[in-house]
Amino acid sequence: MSEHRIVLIVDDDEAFAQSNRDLLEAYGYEVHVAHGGSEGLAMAKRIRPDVMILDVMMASDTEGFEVARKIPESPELSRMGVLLVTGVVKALHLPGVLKADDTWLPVDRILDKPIPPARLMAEIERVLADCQRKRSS
Amino acid sequence: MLKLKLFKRFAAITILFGILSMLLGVQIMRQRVISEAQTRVRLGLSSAWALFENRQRELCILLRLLANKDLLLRVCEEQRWNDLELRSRLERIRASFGLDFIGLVDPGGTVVFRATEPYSTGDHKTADLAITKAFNGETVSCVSLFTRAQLMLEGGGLADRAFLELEETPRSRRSPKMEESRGMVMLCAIPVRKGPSVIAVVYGGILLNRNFAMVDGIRDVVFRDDVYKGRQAGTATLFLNDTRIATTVLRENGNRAVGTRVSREVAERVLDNGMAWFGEAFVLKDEYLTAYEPIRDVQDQIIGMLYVGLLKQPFNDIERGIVLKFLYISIFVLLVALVLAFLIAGRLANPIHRLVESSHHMRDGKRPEPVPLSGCCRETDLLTEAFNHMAVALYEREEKLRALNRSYMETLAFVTHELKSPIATMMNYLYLLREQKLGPVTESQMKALRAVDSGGQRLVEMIRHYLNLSRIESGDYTPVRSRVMLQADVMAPLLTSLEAELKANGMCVENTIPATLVLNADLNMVREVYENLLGNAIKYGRPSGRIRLAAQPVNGHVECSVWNDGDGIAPDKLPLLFQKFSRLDNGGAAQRHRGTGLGLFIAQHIVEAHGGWIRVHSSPGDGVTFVFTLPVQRETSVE
Repeated sequence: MSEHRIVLIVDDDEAFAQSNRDLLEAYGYEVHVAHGGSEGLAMAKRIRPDVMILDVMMASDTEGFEVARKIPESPELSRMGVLLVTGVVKALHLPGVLKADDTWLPVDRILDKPIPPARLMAEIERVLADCQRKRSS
Repeated sequence: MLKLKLFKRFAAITILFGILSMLLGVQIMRQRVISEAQTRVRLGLSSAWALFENRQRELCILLRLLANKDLLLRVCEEQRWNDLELRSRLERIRASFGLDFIGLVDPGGTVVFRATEPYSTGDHKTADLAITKAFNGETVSCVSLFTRAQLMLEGGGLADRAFLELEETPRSRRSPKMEESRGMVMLCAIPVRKGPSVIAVVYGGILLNRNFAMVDGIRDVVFRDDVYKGRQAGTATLFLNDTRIATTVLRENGNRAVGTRVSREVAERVLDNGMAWFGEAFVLKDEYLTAYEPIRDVQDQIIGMLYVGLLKQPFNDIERGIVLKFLYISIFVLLVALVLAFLIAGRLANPIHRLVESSHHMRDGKRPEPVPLSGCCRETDLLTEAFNHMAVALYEREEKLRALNRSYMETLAFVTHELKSPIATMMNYLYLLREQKLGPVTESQMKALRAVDSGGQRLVEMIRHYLNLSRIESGDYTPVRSRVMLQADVMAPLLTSLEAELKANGMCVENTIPATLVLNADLNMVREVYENLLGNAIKYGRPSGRIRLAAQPVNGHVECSVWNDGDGIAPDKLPLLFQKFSRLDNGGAAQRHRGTGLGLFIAQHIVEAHGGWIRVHSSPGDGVTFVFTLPVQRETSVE
């Protein structure tokens, strides 16, 4: 971890969110947790994380999507990478890879739960690298 | 097809019995027609005899009247044989009653008087049995043969009238004889009495040779004057031996066929054996239904035959007409029977066809339509009813089972889904512990952590498999295709997450998949396939062995292969590999790694849902290769 990275976890499953927080903090990330969609958005605007790990199913089955769609409305969040985590990729018929200009679901990655920890970190690094490239270009 | 089979059987039976009854019918009709005709001919012969004998009786009556005539008695008494009055009287009587000759014989057997030119007398008739009998007081009426000399004595040109040249006739007996000079006569001899003693015998007769009036008369009375197609239908003939001497049968030139002869068969039966002939016979060239009977002389010797016959042609034609009519009717009836057979076969077979159709309908999993009752027979209706009940019961049971399975699958999906977050939580902490991010771990603690981790991995795999199974079972597992870089999107993250496990087993992966290869497939599904195949390769491969990954475009597809250097799979187990819940117990690795038995089933489902195929090649000792195809992304040029 050459740089100090901020990760925001938006998930209503407190135990899972906590475990992710512990995992990522162990690897040197600064981690914040929000337990709801609107809380997550507000916190994101405040702390400006580099990556948001967003759970799809929270209070409603698609709360995560709604949050994801609102992100582009805030220009201050344009640099933030979004990792959508869900247990329902297959059930919702989502393609596994989304292009950057996708407006209907503006996230960088969709990952299927449970994600092996090593993979989660690899994906975070990839998203961060993508954002870095975007920023520098 | 049942209907056709039934119809064929019915038709065969109908045609068989139809033909039998036709043959029998035709046979009976023929016999009937011919026997009717034959009866007519027999009756005709009887009538002919009656006419013949009638003529003889007439002759006798005439001569008896003469014998009692005063003039004749007086002449005989006084032996004035040259009495001119007697001669002129008798000559007139002879001519007017159609007799050919009349004569008187004195007791010495000498002919003393003749009423026919040249009135010759003085010859003896002692050898003539008829005359002898008459001198004994009998009235004699018979048919007799006169030699040419005798005929010449009787005068009146009888000898010439009787003379016939014989002709060769087909089918007749061969004979060297070229002519017939004898005459057959109808003869009558009456004693002339004075008191008890016979003082003379008066005799008279008719020559039958060329006596056409007689045969014409017989024919006209017996058969009338019927003509059939220009030919006389009925014929009558008098034979002297086998020679026609008077006949209504005509030759082709229209002349009467006198001098021709009867066929050999008739001659043998009637002339040689004295029996009557009834049956078919050739008369000259035509076939006739005939009757022949012998004519006998006073000594009971056969000297000729009386014949009547009917042309067979008219009866043949009648018979043909009747038979044809019968055949037409039979064929019509046969056709009607065949149509009925077809309809009956249809009525019998249709309910069964409908049952078969309905059962196919059911086999395809559709809701069974009740088969309508045909009402044609009770048994098929009962069967149909039973079938309908069964179909509904089966369908309901299947629906129940399906609903049960669905709810089971839903429960399974729900439970496994709910397991995801707690498992993910556990796996995160396990990872931190193993990576010693939460403080140092002793060797034995690390061992325990590895065991927990491997259990956790299995749990994660199980959750994935059961969720996929429930989606496949509910038909909800269809690919959502997108552009997938096989190397970057699938292999790289997968190999990263398997790194630890590979390292633990000392395995090395040879990955030759081109980085440029792009698929048009469902990313998660492709990942699932590789996850399952790689998972198996690690589980069943040799420790410290190799895993080889390759992929290349072939015919518009990408052919991918995953090879490991494991023990291989017995050939008889190969077909079981892709079945649901199949676990191959070939000892060793399989026992160590109890999986769900779903990985390959899911992989196969995914590959086939993409329109591809998956196969396994294995020979013990040579490793195991899984080969499968996935669709290539079209617009990408592949190197």
